[in-house]
Amino acid sequence: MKARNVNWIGLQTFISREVARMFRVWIQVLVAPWSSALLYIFIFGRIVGARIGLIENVAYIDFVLPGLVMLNLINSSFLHSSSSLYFMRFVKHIEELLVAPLSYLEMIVGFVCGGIIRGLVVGLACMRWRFFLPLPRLSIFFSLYFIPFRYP
Amino acid sequence: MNEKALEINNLRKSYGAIDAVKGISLSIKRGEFFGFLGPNGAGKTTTIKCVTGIAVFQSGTIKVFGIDAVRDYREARKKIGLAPQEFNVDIFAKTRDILWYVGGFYGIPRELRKKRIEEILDKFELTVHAGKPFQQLSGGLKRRVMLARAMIHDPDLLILDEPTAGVDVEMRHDLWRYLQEMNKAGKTILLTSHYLEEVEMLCGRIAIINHGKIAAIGDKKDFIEGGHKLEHAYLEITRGEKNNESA
Repeated sequence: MKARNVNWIGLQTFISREVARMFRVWIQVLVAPWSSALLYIFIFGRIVGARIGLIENVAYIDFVLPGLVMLNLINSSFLHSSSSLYFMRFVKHIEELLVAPLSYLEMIVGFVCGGIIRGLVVGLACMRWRFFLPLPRLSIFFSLYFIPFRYP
Repeated sequence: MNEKALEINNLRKSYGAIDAVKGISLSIKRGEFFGFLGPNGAGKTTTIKCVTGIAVFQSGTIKVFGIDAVRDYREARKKIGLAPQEFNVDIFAKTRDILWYVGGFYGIPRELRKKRIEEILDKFELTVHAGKPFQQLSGGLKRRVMLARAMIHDPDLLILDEPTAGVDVEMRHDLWRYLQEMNKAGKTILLTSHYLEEVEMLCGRIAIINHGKIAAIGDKKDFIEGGHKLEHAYLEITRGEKNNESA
């Protein structure tokens, strides 16, 4: 597909609609993974971690925190694409997309971009627990490298 | 300039073992107000879904103003506006947002889209309801939003699948007025409806589809000649087919 044949405005609109939909249900998007991350940090990091102690000078929380962030990030990302598609099919407003001059590839790219954006928002939100709790510092650059290049 | 707004040739569409459309052919001229009638399950909506790209058909060709609806689907779809039977919108979205996003899908640039939305909200008397979520609107307003959405990219062919279903008398008259105005402005309109009096009043040419086949097609006067109502001809055709099948 040539770049000039891409419906860029349509694709951009689709992604912006996905993002708007995400923030419309911000409690589900942010609060739910944020509080579940806190629960995991508390159980694995504090309670279980305190019993395990240091392993080769690495605290258990240091080991488990990146995994908890990625767990929420991946879950949210998949949940966004699947729930968006399912909801659109359920209420039939996927027909809005099907009748529009958008290719199937553009639709898939739109769903994937929506999922990636939600994953990043949730991942960054979970990393923010560091401000409130004595947690290890996660490198934002290292995380951004792993999220798009390693996670698929 | 292509004089045929819509050209369907030998269209076939089946859902599993069920043949919904069995090789129909019809053409609609530019600027025509065309009525597409038939009983429930006859294949009207399936045909419309094939034309608009919602359904993938097995065989046949569809051309919109001479453009192949499969091969050049982007260009063909830009020429079609669809107001479907069901409210297929994001019910939590606000009226203005619905129009904004759909306008974007059709590739309308931001500034032009803003202007176009204001025009269309004004035309359909929806300006005061622009900030309301779709689910909070009355049935008649929802229908108007569906029409506004279909018109946002200024299509040349407007396909209306039972646009007045569940609408009160006053609102129905308003919708008829809008449709007549649009037709006068040069839009080609394909209308399906179970209210035969509205088809009789609005349409110049009519096709009746039954069991996935075109049972009759012609000018309105052919159906109502001899002082008959369209309903009479419609029942004669659809019941006649039923009797032939059972015989």
